[in-house]
Amino acid sequence: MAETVIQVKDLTRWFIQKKVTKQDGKVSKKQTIKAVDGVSFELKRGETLGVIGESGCGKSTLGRVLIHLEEPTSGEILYGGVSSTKLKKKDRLAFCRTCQMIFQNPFDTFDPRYTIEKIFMSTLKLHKIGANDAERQQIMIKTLEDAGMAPATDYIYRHPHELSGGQLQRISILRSMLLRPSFLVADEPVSMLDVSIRADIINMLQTLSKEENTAMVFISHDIATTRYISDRVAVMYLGRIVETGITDEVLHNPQHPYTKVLISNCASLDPLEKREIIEIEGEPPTPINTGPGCYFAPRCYQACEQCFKEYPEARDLGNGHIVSCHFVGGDNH
Amino acid sequence: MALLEIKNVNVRYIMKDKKVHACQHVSLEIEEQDSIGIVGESGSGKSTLASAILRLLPKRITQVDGEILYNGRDLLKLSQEEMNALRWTDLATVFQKSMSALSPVHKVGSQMEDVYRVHFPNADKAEIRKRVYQLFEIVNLSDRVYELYPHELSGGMMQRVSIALALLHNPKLLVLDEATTALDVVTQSQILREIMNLEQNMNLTRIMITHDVSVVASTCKKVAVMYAGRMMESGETRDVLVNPQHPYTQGLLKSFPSFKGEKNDLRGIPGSLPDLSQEIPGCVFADRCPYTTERCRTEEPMLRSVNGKSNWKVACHRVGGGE
Repeated sequence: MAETVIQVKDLTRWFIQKKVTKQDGKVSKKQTIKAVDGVSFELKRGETLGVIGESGCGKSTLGRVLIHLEEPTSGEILYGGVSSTKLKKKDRLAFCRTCQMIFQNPFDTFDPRYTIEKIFMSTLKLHKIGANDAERQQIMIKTLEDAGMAPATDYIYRHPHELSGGQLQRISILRSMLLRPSFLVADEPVSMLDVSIRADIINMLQTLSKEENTAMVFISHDIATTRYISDRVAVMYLGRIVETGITDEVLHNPQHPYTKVLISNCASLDPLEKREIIEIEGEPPTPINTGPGCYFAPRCYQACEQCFKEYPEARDLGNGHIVSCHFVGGDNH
Repeated sequence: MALLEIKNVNVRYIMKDKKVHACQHVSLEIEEQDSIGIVGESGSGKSTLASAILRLLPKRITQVDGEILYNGRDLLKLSQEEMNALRWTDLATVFQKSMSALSPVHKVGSQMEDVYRVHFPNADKAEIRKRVYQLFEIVNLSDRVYELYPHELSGGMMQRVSIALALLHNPKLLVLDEATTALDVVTQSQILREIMNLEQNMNLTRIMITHDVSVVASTCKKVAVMYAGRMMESGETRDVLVNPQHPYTQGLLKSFPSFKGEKNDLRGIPGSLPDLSQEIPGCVFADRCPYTTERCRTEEPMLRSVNGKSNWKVACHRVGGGE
């Protein structure tokens, strides 16, 4: 049984919109936007959790809260049983070494005036890896060349703008993995890149995380890519996880109506395949005043009265497949 | 006769010390009521080709030659006035970022009025409003959008406004340049469905430019694969995507993770695009191709019909009896 790296309990992140008096004298109400609203999950060593959902469902906020780029409003994140807030207070650097993040746009990740060498060296120096500069240099060159970027001298004297998006994203991943984090958040790491490069980056991310036994949260809106890399997936809608379980079980046998909609709307590569598309109206609303019922009920094709009255409990269908819907596994059949 | 015939079009961007060959020897025929998807990586010249068709490239720094025949008239030789007469009524386009295609300081309605008055300068407001409401209904927008500013709309709604705007004068040819790329899966499939319905009702011919092969697979009858400014393979979607002949098409399809089947079959194409400011004597894909021979480096392959189908064309020495 692999050890649990991260445990998230009922995590929330609310953004408060202040009361504002506009120029024409109208006063806007004070509003709470529940970007992440009660998320719980656990990740074991070397496990990858894919988080999918539409834009605005809180995926990225969840990622940022997990590594404390934003403070959670309530709830707990436990790294190896210890609360992350405590860890961060005690030793911020050590905390940064346990969890790392890869961002969507590699061009924004680095200081444009640093060379690749300086980027690596400053990271190594800050975390006191390697005894002296010569040793650090060696670590850097070895890391780059192991990842297929040989000879390393071709790259290290360049600035970020002199490299392509794919190369930069590779460097971004390498720099994060240099610290051997036990937990990694990858926020849409390939959506900026070209399709022909995507596959290589995904493969590299997967190999590295398996080698180092890193637990990873992979955030993406591309379901097929997520399926490729994840052991488990979580489907998010308006800040809540509506369905979670082992990747192929959730994606090939979806139970929650939202998951069904999401998957049926995914275009397939095969032009001959006959698909049944579940049509729904509208777009996800902003999570303000969500009401007591299921958040998806206003757009759901099978919503009933009960759906508007109470939020469905999470039900376990066995094998870790958890669904929050009144129609699944309950009394409503 | 074909609605749009592109014959041997070359587009070059002229810079101080070099010329970039963005499109080379591109030929394509588009029949009436066809839907064709142009796919390729970024930098493969898809958008350049679309802008060349619409004559939107800046004159000073580009050089376009070849023929683009629309109903028998060469678009490249028309005067500015003649071209303007065709815009909106015959040719219309939807861009990727409607956020930047719409003016942020004017209401949606007044922008649509402006476009309506391009061809009917004396139209009165009530008439325009009626027509715009009609279009809003087609693209599933509520009437209140007329009075809103673009920043009050979501990405999907804005894309719908752009599509409604493009349809204002019943165009015959619609060019969608990455029109759904920035949208969510659910919204994307909603809009694609709407476009396909429109096509049947309004007699539209559609050119769809995208890097997402799955969008083409589910919405287009024909597909053209471009790489480094050249046409690599073109033909009917169900031929090309099911049984790709060109090594680039094969590589492109392999780099998409599939939703079904085995997981361990994901492979990218090694290497990156060649420098298009240099003359490349042989096949442009030779550097990244797994089957490169001596001949590929010296002789440029021509588009050839394969498998006895006249509209399925591949530019590769390996295919179609080249050897």
